[in-house]
Amino acid sequence: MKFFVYTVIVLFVIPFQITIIHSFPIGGRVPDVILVIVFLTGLWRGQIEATALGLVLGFLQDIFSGTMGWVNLMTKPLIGLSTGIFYHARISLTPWVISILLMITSFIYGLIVLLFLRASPSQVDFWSAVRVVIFPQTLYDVVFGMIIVFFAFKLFPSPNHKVWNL
Amino acid sequence: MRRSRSRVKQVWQVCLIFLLIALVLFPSSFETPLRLLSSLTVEVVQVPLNIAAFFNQKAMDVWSDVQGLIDLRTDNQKLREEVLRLNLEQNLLKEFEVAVDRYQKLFDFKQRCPYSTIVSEVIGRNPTNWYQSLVITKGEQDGIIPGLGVITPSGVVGRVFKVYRTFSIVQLILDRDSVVTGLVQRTRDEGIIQGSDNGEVIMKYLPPLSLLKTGDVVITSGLDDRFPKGMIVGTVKQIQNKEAAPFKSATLRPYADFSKLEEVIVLLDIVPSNEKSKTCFVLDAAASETSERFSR
Repeated sequence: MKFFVYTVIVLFVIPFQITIIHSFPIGGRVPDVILVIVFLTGLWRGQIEATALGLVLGFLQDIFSGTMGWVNLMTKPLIGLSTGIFYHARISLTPWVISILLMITSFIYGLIVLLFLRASPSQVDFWSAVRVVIFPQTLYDVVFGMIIVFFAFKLFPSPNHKVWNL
Repeated sequence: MRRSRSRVKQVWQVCLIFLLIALVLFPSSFETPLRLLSSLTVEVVQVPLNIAAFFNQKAMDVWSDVQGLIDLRTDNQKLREEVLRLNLEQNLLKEFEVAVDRYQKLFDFKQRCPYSTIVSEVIGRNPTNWYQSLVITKGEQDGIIPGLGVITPSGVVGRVFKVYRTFSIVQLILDRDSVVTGLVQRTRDEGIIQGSDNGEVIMKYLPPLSLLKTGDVVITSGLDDRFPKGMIVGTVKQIQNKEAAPFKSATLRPYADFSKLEEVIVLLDIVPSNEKSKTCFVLDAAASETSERFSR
């Protein structure tokens, strides 16, 4: 059953990310659905599942990206691995805590990608990228993540009972 | 007491019989009193009659309304379905009309264009905000290889970046890593057309003494092996002319509308294959208008 659910997620998230989500841009930017899904999987299901999901989704994301690198393949499992820590942590994951964690995760992910691009021959301007790409995407990721949290976790309560009571 | 009542009854019976006989034998004599009596009777009877008629009418009206409501509901349902069907049909027709228009433009373009091309549908966009790319439905099996130029009848779109068996990734000219060699059509100044982080297209390394102005049309120079000379890229939107800078640069307004790309044309070969016109692009009225607006 679990395998089936993850297969469905993998099969639907990528088309969603490259097609439907582009119908809802804000300032030409769209949320990173994959980042949000991996992040929430980490909180909801723990490190192993989130890391594996991040690996698969990151790989697929890089296949469809206009880049030759594998930056998502490297960073998305890391997101799963790091957020999975909170699955066992003794903190109450309220919506506020989740949104702040997601904001930090998205921002750090943006910085890692930016550093990766700076290390490559890509002519990316650091501050311009922070202003034009990272900040808007971080905010949009948080909004999108909280929408998912609101709907998904209402329907499927976490097996870890300390996680949010919305 | 009972006997006296019986006698009164008998008297009444006799009277009635006489009355009836008289009515039969002399009807004309009774006409006037009968008429008076009937008019009086009518006056009395018409009150309950009117009341009964009123209630009857109301009942009929209510029944008619109920019947009408039942019919109305069915009719309403039918009409709603009909409206829905017609709306869907209209939308389909509109979509069909738009698609025909697009395909006509593509067909005309292919007819005009002397280069070997293949038309492909756009099925997706970049999954991150870091790059500007498209996913198209043609891949290795259709003869696509990395580096091929991608255009629309409006102008240059980008180049094929990654190729898989059934689909490819196209890097747009909006991408900061995209590089296309360009030429200002009027002044013949050459430069490099690049994307930027904020999605603008910039023409860099223009000669410092270049006389270009806003509204000038920029085309591909043909110096790279992706695009033949003369492919329209856009118009000059703004000129950056810093005194200390060794080169001029200009922000371009691309002709291709990147937010509405549904089909693109991949240039399979940049060597003309026949004697058709070498100018694939026709600056349509809107484009000319834009160009004029910016040149003012």
